[in-house]
Formats: sequence, C-alpha cells, structure tokens
Amino acid sequence: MIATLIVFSLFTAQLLRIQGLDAQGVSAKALDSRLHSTVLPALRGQIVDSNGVVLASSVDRYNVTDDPTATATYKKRIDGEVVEVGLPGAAIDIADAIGVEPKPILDAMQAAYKKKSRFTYLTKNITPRQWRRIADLGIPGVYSESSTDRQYPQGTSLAPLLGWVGGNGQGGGGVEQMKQKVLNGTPGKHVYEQAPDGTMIATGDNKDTPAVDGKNVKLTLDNDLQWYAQNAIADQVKKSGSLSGEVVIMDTQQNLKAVASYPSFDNNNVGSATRTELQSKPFTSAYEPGSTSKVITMAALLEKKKATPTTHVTVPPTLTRAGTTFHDAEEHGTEHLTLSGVLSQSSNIGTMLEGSKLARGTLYHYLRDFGLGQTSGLGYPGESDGVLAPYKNWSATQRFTVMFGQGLASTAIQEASVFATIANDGVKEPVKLVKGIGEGDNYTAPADSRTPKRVIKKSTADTLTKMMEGVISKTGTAKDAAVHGYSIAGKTGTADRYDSTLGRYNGVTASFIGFAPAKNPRYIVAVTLQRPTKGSMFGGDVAGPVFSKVMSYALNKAGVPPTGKQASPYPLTYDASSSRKP
Amino acid sequence: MSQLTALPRPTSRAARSARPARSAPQTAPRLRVVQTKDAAEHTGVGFVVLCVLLLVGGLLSLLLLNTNRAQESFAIKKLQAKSAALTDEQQQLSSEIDAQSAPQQLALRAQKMGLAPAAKIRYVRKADGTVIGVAKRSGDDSTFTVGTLPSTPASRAAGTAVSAASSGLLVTKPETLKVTKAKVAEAPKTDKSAPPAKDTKKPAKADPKPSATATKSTGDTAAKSTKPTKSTK
Repeated sequence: MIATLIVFSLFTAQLLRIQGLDAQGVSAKALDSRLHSTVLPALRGQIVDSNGVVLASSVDRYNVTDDPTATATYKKRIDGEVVEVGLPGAAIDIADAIGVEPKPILDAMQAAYKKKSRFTYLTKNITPRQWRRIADLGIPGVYSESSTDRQYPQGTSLAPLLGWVGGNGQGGGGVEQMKQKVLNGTPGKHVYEQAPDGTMIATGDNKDTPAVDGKNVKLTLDNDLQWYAQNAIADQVKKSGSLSGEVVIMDTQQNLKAVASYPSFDNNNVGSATRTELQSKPFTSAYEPGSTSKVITMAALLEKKKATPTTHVTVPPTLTRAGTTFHDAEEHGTEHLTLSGVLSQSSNIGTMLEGSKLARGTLYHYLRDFGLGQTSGLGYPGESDGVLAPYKNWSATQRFTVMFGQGLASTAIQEASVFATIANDGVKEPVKLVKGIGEGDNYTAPADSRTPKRVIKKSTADTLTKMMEGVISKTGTAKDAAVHGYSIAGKTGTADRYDSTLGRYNGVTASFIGFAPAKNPRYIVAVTLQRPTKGSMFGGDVAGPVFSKVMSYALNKAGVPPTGKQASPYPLTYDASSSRKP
Repeated sequence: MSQLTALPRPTSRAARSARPARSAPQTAPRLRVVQTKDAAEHTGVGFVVLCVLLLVGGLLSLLLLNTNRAQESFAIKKLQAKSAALTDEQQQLSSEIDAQSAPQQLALRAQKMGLAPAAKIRYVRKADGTVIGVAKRSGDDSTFTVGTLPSTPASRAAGTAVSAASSGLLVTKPETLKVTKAKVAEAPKTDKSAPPAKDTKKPAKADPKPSATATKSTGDTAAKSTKPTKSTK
C-alpha cells in the first residue's frame, strides 16, 4: 500500500515537473523537432536589350543527390514480382528518366557506396520536369537540391560584355558584376511543422517570408547590331591574322548599341574560357590610338582659329623635332596639302607642323575634354581610364606625338566617344549602357549624375565633319570604308602597338572610326584590330571593310534613306609650282 | 444516466403540484426542502444537456473544421504543385524561344533556306513611288561566319545548326542571290528624317496584296528591281 503510494507520488512529481516546471522547454523541444524551414530561392533578374530581347535569364534547376546505402535496397516490380534491382537498376531508371547515359550515374553511386559515403551528386542542373520524372520513380535515397542556372541565349556574341555568374551567385565581370545589387534578389524562407513521415502538418505553425526576385536590367544595346558586329570582327580577325578585334557602335547621344570583341568565350560555359577572353576589351584595354586622335588636334586648331580646312601645309619628307626624326607612314617627297589633305592622307608631319601652333596646355585641355584619360563614369568593372599624362610631364617628343595619337592611350569606348561628340555638334553626352531597371515592361532610367558638356562649337564640329568626309575619298586613306549610298565621315588609325609582354613596340593597331550619314549622323562605329599579320597593316585596309559592312547593315536596318555619293567638300591639295598631288 | 435520473421526475412534479393546495399549512419546512431539491433537479437537467450538446457540437465542428483545413491544405499543395509545374513549363518554353530566336541561329537557318542578305535596298517614296535612293550591300559575299553560337541545352536542341557551326562550316552561298528588298519610305522633309514606319517597310515580294496606298509603290519597286537601274552606281 505504502509502496504503491510512493510510486504514485513519484509519478505525480514527474508529471508536475514535465507539465509545470519544464513545460516551456519541453514544448519548445517538441516544436523544434517538428519545425522545418526551407529557403525559397530568389530568381536573378534578366538582362535585356533595348528592344526587350533576352540577353541573360535565370531558370530553376535541380541537382540530384544520392545516399547509395539506401538506394542499394531499391526494389522494383517486374512482371508482377518484386525484385531488388539495387544500384544498377536505380542508375538505369534515373538515366532513362532524364535521357542520359547511365554509366556516369552508376559510377558515382558505386564510388560513394564503396567508401560507405551517404552522399554523392548523381547529376547537376537538370530541369524541374526531369527532376519530377526522377522523383516519381520513388527510389530510396535519391534527393534533390534546388539551384538556378544562368542562360545566355546570345552566347559568344555578348559574353565579354555581359560577364557571367559564379557559383556563389555573384556576378563575375561585365554587366553581371556591375549590376549585381539590382539583379540579385533576396531569398525567402518557408517555415513549417512536419510530421514524422515528412508531410506538412496542416494545422501547425506555417510562416512564409516570400522571396523577392531580382530586377531586370535593360541595356541600350541592339542585339542584332551586336551580333552582326561580332560576326564581322570575328571574320576579319581570322582573315587578317590579328591578335584581337573590337567594334563599338553608339548613337550620337552615346547610347552604346554594340560592344563586340573577339576572341570571345561562351558564358554558358565559363570554365572553358581563358583569362584574357573574359574581358570586354573595348572597356578594359587601352592602346595608343594613333591617327584617329588627329581629329582632336584638328578640332583644337579649328576652334582656336589657328587654321582653316584649306590652310596650306607644305609637308617635307621628314621632320626633325626634339632630336627625333619623324616620318609619315608612306615615303613621299615634299607635298602640298591643305589641312583637310593632311587629315585625309593622315600625315604625321603635317599634323605636327600645324599642331605646333597650339600650346601644350591647350592640346591637353582638348584631349581631356574629349574624354581621354578618364573612365566613362559608367562604373563598368575593370574599365580603363587610359593613359594621358599631364602636359607638364610631357617629354620633348611626346609633346609632338600626342598630336597624332602616340604617347597616350585610350580605350575603344573613349575613341568612339570622341567621334560621337563631333557627330553630336560638339556636345559630349555621357556614355550610356543601362537604359532602365525594372520589372515586366516597367523600366525606370537609372539615376545619372553625369551631364552633357559642350567641347567644341557646332560650326567647328560641322567643319571637322566635312574634313573627315575627305578621308574616304579616292586619295584618302580609307576608300574601303565607304558605305554605298551614304556619305560618311571618319578617320583611319595605324598606330605602333606597344607589346607589354615583349616590353617594346611590335606590330600595329589598325583602326577606323566614323559616323554616317555625315550630314545627320545616326551611328558611330569604331573598329579596331590589334596586330594584324596578314596582308596590309593599314587601318583603312584592315578595319575599313569591317566598318563598311557594319555601318551599311546598321543604316539599312534602321531604315535610314540613302544620302547620295561620298562627298569630299574641301580640296585636299593646293596648287604649288613645285609639285601637285593628284 | 441522465435519462434514468430524469424518469421519476414527472410523478414527483405531479405530486408536488397537487399537494401544496391541500397540505401547505401543515408541514411548511418539508415542503420547502422538496421544492428546492426539485427546482435544482429541474434546472440541472437542462444545463447538463446544454453542456453535453455544446461539447459534442464543439468537438464535431472542430473536427469538421480541422478536416476541412487538412483537406484544403492538400488542395493548396496540389495547386501549388500545378502552379510550379506550369511555371517550370513556361520557363522552359521561353528559354527555348530565346535560344531559337538568337540572331545567329536565325541567320544559319535563313541561309539553309537559301536566303541571303539583300544585295540592294531601294528606298521608295510612298507618296509618288519614286526611288529616293539605293543602298548596296557592303562586301561581296553573302555568307556569315558564325563564331558566335552559344551552347545552351536549348540551343543544342537546334542540333543541325550547331553542328554546322562547330565544324567551322561557312554556310554555302545560296543559289538565289538576287533577292532584292525594297523599303518604302516617306519623303524625308527635314534632315532629321525619322526612319520609315515599320508597317511600310515590308519587302515587295513578301506581301502580294499590300494595302491600297502601298500597292502602287511596292508594285513599281518590284518591277524596277528586276532590271538594273543606273542609280545604283
């Protein structure tokens, strides 16, 4: 009797302890064992072009994991009989479900099984549909983890500009890195109570923090132009045996329409790319631009009224300045050129003779105002600001070489921007790449603190444009750049190329930059090829044809009516008793 | 049990109702006790019944509610699964479209069909059908180098195009090189002329029955484009 009482009082005490004293702890423990949470992944925003064409998008994917010790007991009903088919049977069924070879899957299972490991990946990045087919098989030990995959339907044509997304969800280079904050969403959380068999308890505590998907980024690009430019430059790099090539297309408001570079890579498969391919060279690599830079010297001469397009320049075969003898690209006797002729034949000596009328500071001021020696302010990752030493630090020869684009370095974006400024009546708009940020069809333009700036007068820009029309004339350096049906303005460049791996000058940088139609410019196209090795090395011969193709396509696509034959408004030579150029 | 206790009540009540009239003056204390007891018994039955009803009703409704809730949660799960499946489907299809509509894929397919970039583009003023300009294609060939194909799973589905590209194939020149594309443009009134409206840009051959206004100009163009014109040089 007493013993029974003692036992019962013990029970009572225990009951009191559990229900009274420890109640909170015990119930929390119980809840803990029921409570589960899953992460609701946020989908990364899309990148689209100015017409809404998808350039990059994220999709849901699954990785299939396996516990082979459980899978080994896989049983299956064959002809009404239950048979244990084990790992090989499971591998075959999974492979069938997703349409791949079973061997790698079986290998992964067996390798893990041998090590008594209870975790291995069977396959990665399968579609939700494929995973559902696997899940329906009901194979023990086969689980999934959700992931996302970034797809780039345009592949190599845009890869260097867009960049890629790393395994950690961080943008690796390019627009993906530049707009990481906007593109990346905030993952949500789903908290729920779970029964021992894994089903959700309907009456339990459920809490949802929904995922916030990333926003879409709309670029100023035109995907068709981008592809055409990429294709054309890829072709020419191969034909001319060049190291690399770049094409930049922008409009007069400096909205980038295409930023192509070759060699490229496929950002659907970043692993196979080499380090140098990963960069968008038009932004990241600066080179000595050469003669395309002469237009800045000309702009300064015209603006400061030191010369007119018809100013007579007597160009000797060689010219010695600061102890260095300068030559022109092609040997010649004494020539009688107008200032337009100097530009159209790209005479270094003529440019030096006239450019000497400008003070160092004045020239530097114009180089700087046209955007050299500073980034575009876009915030593009790895963008180079080029090299433009302050004029006080210029060496004696550098003071002359900067006039024809040596002794300073610029990117293709900067060079295109110089010509866009002239095409825009002398007003330099900030370079733009992002048109809007938003969701669906609702995009808002990003905040931009940069403002347009007048660099030269409209009259100067008009005169300079007319001078540049002469470059494409029969006697100019770039007749191959002509675009049938339109008069274009442009300038060739053939610069000595500094090879940093060799530590000396080696080969040339061949370029052509121009805009069309000259009277009412629609597009600015800058074509650059590094170190061509086959055939002619001159910018007009190597880059000119690419310009012609790309510009012709761009104008026709935009439906710009032809403006007539190539004009050459100013005389290029003048009558002197000694000699006369044809 | 409540039934059992309730059974004798009607008789006692009947007795009670009969008695007071006759014997109330004799034994008052006894009467009072019976009355109290009786009253208590009387109200107690109703209360118990009410309690039981409430309890049973409450339990039942709770059960119903919970059943319903569980059922609904299954319905939600089912619908969510369906929604997820549809989302997946939509995602898959739109990524397939994206991959197939990439310009490099279109270019390859167009060339396979024997199409080539227009060799000449005539710009025609819509008002009077006069040719305001001719633009010739730059470059002499009509082939594309396609070094720009992506390798997405979706694009792999486009199989032949990719394999053609990976073997470094320059798609052969199609036989019909003389495809001429005409564009109908409004007369540019100012230098800053807008590009011609989209709907008037249809190639002459692609639209056998254009609208009334366009018929004349496109018809003219088609006729002109077959013979060489001097304005092309």
